[in-house]
Amino acid sequence: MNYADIEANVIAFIKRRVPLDKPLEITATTGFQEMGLDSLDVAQLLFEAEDAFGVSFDLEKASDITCIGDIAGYIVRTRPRATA
Amino acid sequence: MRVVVTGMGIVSPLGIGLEPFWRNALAGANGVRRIASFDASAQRPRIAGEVPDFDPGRYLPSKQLDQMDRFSQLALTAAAEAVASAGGLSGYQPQRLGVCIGTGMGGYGSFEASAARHFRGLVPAPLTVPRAMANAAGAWIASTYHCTGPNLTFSTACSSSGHAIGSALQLLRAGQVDAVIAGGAEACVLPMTMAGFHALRALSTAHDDHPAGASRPFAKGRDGFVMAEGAGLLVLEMAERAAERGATIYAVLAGYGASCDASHIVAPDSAGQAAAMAAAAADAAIAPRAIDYINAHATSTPLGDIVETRAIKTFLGAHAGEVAVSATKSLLGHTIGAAAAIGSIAAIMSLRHSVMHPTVNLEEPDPECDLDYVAGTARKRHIRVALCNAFGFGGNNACLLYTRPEALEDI
Repeated sequence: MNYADIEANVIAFIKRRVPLDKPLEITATTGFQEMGLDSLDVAQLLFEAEDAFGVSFDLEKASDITCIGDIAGYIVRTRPRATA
Repeated sequence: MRVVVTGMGIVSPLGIGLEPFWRNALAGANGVRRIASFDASAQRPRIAGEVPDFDPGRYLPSKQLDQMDRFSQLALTAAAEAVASAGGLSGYQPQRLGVCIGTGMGGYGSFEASAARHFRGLVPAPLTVPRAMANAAGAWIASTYHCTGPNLTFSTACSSSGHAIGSALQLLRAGQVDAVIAGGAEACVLPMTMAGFHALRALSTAHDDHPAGASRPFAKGRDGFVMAEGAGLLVLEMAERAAERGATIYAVLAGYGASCDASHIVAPDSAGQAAAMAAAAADAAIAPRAIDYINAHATSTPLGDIVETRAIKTFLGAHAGEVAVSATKSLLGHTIGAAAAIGSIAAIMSLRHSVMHPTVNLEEPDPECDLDYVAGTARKRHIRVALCNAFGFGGNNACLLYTRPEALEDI
């Protein structure tokens, strides 16, 4: 799976998981804040993404993940290790 | 200074809402079934009282659902019915609205799920603590109805919601609040929690192939209680204010009695139970002989039902034979921290409609249980005063006394 596929999967996952109060186009650069998510919501989202994508997020570095593209990037970087 | 019940909401194994609960209770329906929420095939018992067809998404926004354990979801669903039946609480200042919730185990389901992950080397869900904490249900009710006054959670095992409702009565009498959403919620039909109760030999195991016969308070051959889930909530307020705003008054909450056996961590004691019943009557300034109906704690354990029978006799003396007693747990199992609230709702419905639901599975009573238990089918009777008993592990007893709205003047 290439980056574009992973990004598309993460966007689909987010759309499925996050109910939006207002119409918003979800792209790789869409920020969590923009989507109305607080830090607890993001923590829960990353937790669920771990199971969905077979990765393990480093909780100490989770604050660096602020948008959808960050999740996709993290998966691409860590996936070989996670699936080994 | 009378405190009245102006709203009621219930989610139970007999259905979601007051109407199905009471209709099914009067019919002697049974809410105990094979466990559906998880694979219980490898454990005993394999039966429980689960709320059928509970889809919290029908009642709650999805973001809130993620943040809540099932016990909070049940509580919030019951609260919605209670507040709606009270006609809303918008006439009160937010800081004058309180919440008192009882729960024995709180969000054990969330804790069990996260523990299972942790011990497999996986990180637990980030919402483990806010979902599992016992005061979560109260917090969600407060934020939903903007109750910024006192918000208290009581955890005294099977008497939790008795103390929640009784303490709400005291907050109202003390003038600290104008209205309280009070009751209890429990969602502990769970693999590990049930294994713990089973290890204690507290649960019925002899009826896994005939679930409806398992919860049999006062009957010969009973062998333990049946775990159940549910929530019951009341809206309580001062009679004068309720009358001013034209609210329907379902009953008067006339008295609350509390005691501790101070003897054994799980075995009940009739002296402590009788003391709590007497304290409730004294608090209401009502003579014990005025009591017409007792919604018993009656969990279907071999010892508990005998001890409660003895305690009622100690408390009422010769009048014990004239009182009708019924066991809501015979219909739906034991909802632990929600039991006193659900028992209270049954008692209030009996006061309002002059009919008592039956105690089922009581074809053959235990010779040591010899009161009038409304066995088999519902019975009509004009009830002016009803007592609801709740006795928890730790010897923790809570009794609540309800009367018909017009009854207090002439008792």
